[in-house]
Amino acid sequence: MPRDQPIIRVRDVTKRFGDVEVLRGVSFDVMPGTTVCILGGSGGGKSTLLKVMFGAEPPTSGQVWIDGDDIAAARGRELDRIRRKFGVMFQSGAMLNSLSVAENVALPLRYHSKLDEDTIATTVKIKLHQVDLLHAADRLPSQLSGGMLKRAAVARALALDPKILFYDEPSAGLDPIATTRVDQLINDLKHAMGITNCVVTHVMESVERIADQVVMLDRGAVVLDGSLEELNASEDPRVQQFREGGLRGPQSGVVSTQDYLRDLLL
Amino acid sequence: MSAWPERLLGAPGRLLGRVGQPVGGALRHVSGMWHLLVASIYYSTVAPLTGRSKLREQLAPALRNVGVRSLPIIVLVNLLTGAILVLQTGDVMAKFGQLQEVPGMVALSMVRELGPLMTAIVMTARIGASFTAVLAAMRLNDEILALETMAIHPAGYLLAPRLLSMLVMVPCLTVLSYALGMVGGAVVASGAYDLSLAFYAENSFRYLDFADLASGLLKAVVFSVLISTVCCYYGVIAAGGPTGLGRYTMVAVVTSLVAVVVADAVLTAFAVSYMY
Repeated sequence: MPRDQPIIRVRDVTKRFGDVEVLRGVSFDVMPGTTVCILGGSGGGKSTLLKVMFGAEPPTSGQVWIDGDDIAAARGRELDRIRRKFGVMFQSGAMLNSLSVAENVALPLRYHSKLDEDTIATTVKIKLHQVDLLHAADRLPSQLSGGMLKRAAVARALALDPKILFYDEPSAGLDPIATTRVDQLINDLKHAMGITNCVVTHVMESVERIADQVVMLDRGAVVLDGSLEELNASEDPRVQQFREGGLRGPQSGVVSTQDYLRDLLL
Repeated sequence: MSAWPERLLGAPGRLLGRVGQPVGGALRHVSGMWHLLVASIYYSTVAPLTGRSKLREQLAPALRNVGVRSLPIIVLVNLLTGAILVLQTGDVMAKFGQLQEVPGMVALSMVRELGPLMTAIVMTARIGASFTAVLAAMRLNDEILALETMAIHPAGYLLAPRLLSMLVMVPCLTVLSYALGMVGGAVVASGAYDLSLAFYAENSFRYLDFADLASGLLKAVVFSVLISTVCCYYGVIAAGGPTGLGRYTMVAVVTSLVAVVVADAVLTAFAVSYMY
């Protein structure tokens, strides 16, 4: 795939759960070697969009092209082939609790490479060194702190040298120092390895540290697709409210007195 | 499911809807279990040959967990089952002067029925419940989704080793249970009814033939498939946080026990009609 072509193309993606439309005609492109942050309030559809993008949820309609392959239409071995192009860091880390950190990182290598055990062990050390967790290689995931768990999950996601990394709320539950460390890691992976990062987050400090592109969702629809500067300059009241974290605005959830009385009486 | 009969048929429709809903739900679960079983069989047989599954590495710890670590409770339960059989029947048999038939009766009961059944009950409680709880925790922690995104099929990584370890170990433990039941019976018979151990051993095999052993082992194989399929299925569909984990584990154990008892009745009827 040429560097001037998008590595991720999301086209008219809709997703329904019964009568609820969670994603409404979402479209955007991501260029290789950049970091895109998907923003939005809770329940805005960003985690669902991420699941659609890495093939965990099929869209109701639309296409998601990952490095030239439509993951939304892929099944079986074709889907497995596309999945080897990217790694995923889940909000909880999702490390296999019965395996040590090193065994977790070795797992995709054992399944998808023909490397011998010595080479796998060396590769695992390299990946853990990249996330500064070599000292924790033999620990179980339950023995790691929140920040270490997320970095271990990144190391596992890096095992097969993917072109793209998806992150679901990498800062969730972390203190400010651990958050900065994870953000630094995301930037290092982009600069040193040319990895395309696709990050779902709602932490504005993180967005300002890592984002080259921002896609903001509101009630399942894209309200902004642009640069960090465009996010900061946007006069859309939904974007402004999210940026500033104000309680009053289109996403307030603050009920007017009339609506409150109507809910009580009717 | 229930909307159209209620609308079209009034009260009878409502009744139909009330019956139809659980029946539809049960059929959906049976269909889900069937798909899981087929995937597990594929990943136990075909996939390792094509390199899509690394079964050998996972099988040894699964066999150890299912088989070796179940030994103490299997030994205890089956020794006591044999002992209880003699305690319950000894006096009556003595009253009719048939005490010499006790060893044969214990052996026949253990091989045809109690060995496979008691082993299945122990394995449901010890292994089936842990299958559901572990898989449910993995699902709730996104570990199963993480495996899928790494292009590692959960049926190959999680389910096939569990199915295979049950298929190997439950029949082995069942055969062991025959011996344990006879030993338990012999100890009580010698202590309480003065039957010598040599006499007991000699008379234990009087009524046993190959069909009895075959029917007991057939039950063990069917029970192992039922327990692993039902308990793994409820683990991988679990939802609803820690409360859901507890609820799905309970449902898995109850469903598994019911399935084992129903299958036992069907297989016993089959064995009585065609094997004994």
